[in-house]
Amino acid sequence: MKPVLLVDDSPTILMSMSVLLSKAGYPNEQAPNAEAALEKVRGGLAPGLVITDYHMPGMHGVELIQELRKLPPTRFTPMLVLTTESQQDKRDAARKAGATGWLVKPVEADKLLQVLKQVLPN
Amino acid sequence: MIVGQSLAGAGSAKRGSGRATVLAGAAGLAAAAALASLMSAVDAGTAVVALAAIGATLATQVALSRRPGDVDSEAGSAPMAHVRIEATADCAISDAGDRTPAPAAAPLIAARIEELVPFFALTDAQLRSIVEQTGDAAIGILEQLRNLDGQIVAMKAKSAASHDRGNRISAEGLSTDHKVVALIRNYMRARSEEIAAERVHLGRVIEQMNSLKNLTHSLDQIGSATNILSLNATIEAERAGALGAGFKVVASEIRALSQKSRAAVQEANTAIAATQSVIESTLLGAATDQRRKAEAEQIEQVLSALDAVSQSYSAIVAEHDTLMAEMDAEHAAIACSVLDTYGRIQFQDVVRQQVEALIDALTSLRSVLDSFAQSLVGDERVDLTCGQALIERLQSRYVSNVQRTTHAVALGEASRSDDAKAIELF
Repeated sequence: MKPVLLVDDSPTILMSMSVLLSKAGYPNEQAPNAEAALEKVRGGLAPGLVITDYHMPGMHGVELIQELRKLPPTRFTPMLVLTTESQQDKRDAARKAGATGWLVKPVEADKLLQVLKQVLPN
Repeated sequence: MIVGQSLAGAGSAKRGSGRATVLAGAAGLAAAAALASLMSAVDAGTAVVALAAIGATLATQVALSRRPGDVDSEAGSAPMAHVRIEATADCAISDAGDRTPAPAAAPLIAARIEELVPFFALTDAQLRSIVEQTGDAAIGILEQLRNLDGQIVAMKAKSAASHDRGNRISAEGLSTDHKVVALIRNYMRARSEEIAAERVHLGRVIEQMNSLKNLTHSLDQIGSATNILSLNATIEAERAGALGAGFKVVASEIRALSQKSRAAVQEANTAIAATQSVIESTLLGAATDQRRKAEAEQIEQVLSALDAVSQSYSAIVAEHDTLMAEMDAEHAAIACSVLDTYGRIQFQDVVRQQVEALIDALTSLRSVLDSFAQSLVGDERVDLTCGQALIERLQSRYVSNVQRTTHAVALGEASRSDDAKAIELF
């Protein structure tokens, strides 16, 4: 199974999501910002799913999605934005950038796992 | 909530002191209201109260800058210092061309504003400390949860192993029990058949012994007849005189032989009778039957006890199964709660971003006050940021609808309802 790439500047989110995904049987990789995530993908990581925060120091989540869509390993990878933000214009921008979905923090664990089942190929 | 209410009161009190103060107060109020939204999760109350105090300080400074006899601008008269501040409030950029000379108290006000620098540093540090503490606490909680989760998984594995072992032992016990019962029952059946066969056999032995009695009786009769015959032979030998002397000796020997024969028959009869008596009394007697019956009853009792053990095994297995099902349900419930907490811990990140927005707001406020101070001491190149700009900057840092709603409520604006879904797949 391809790993889920988690991108968030919050150690709390990275840790909680990592444990949550591991418990549900999803291997995962973590990046503390968009630049580190890009570096991982350029370094050969081919994630099965990307879950990124929106507000991060440096490049924000939608910009990251735009960049990831240019890279062969993540051209068709499902990408979710997990953020405190819920403004419609930002959602629209994410959709245009190629995001698969938008999740507003905090997301309940069981709902998050349901979403993962929906967006991840069997 | 209590903090938010007290800050709202502080903001209202400031409104009579001039528009700049009102706006500064509004910025503080907005910041305070946003901080108040952290509720009990973060102990930011002290920082919020301190933030609100900035507005009050400004009001005091403005009051100090008034000359005796000045009246409030809202009453129509606009003293120099007041006009100065009001221009700031209206976002007018300072312009050396129409600048009014600063009042005599201006350097004092500027100095007082300068004294606020440690306050801002302190507030900034306190808020950052809150972020750090909540972050550390959240990580600590996650680690504890992970440990707990590991313990639950280990406990569940141990329980399952124990359950399997218990079931296996019970199954083995039952199996052994059934085997023992079967062995005993087979033994009982075989023993019963053996006893019946023995009885038949012994009956035949006794019959044969009885036939031996007849035989010895015949031998005894032959011996008796031989004895009589030897007596007759002796008499006839006497009659024959010297010619019958040899015959007399033979007759005497025949007589002695018949007597020995009768004695042997007598001994045989005695031995047969004794053996028959032993067989009848020991092997075929009522006491023997009673003993065998008692033995059979004891074996039946053992079998009943083994049946009871088998039933106990089954009851233990059933009880164990029920207990395991309950434990599995408990484990599942705890695991579900742990999983749920992993999700809910995202709250810390939500709060962190809200506090960081406030840290930024405080930095902006400090910058504004610095500008005020510089303008008061006559720095003509200073661009003064108005309160509204400060609020707009704060607003631009919002990262959630909670902040925007709190903002609207604090400023008495219409709150825009957020119909956007929490989860939306494109």
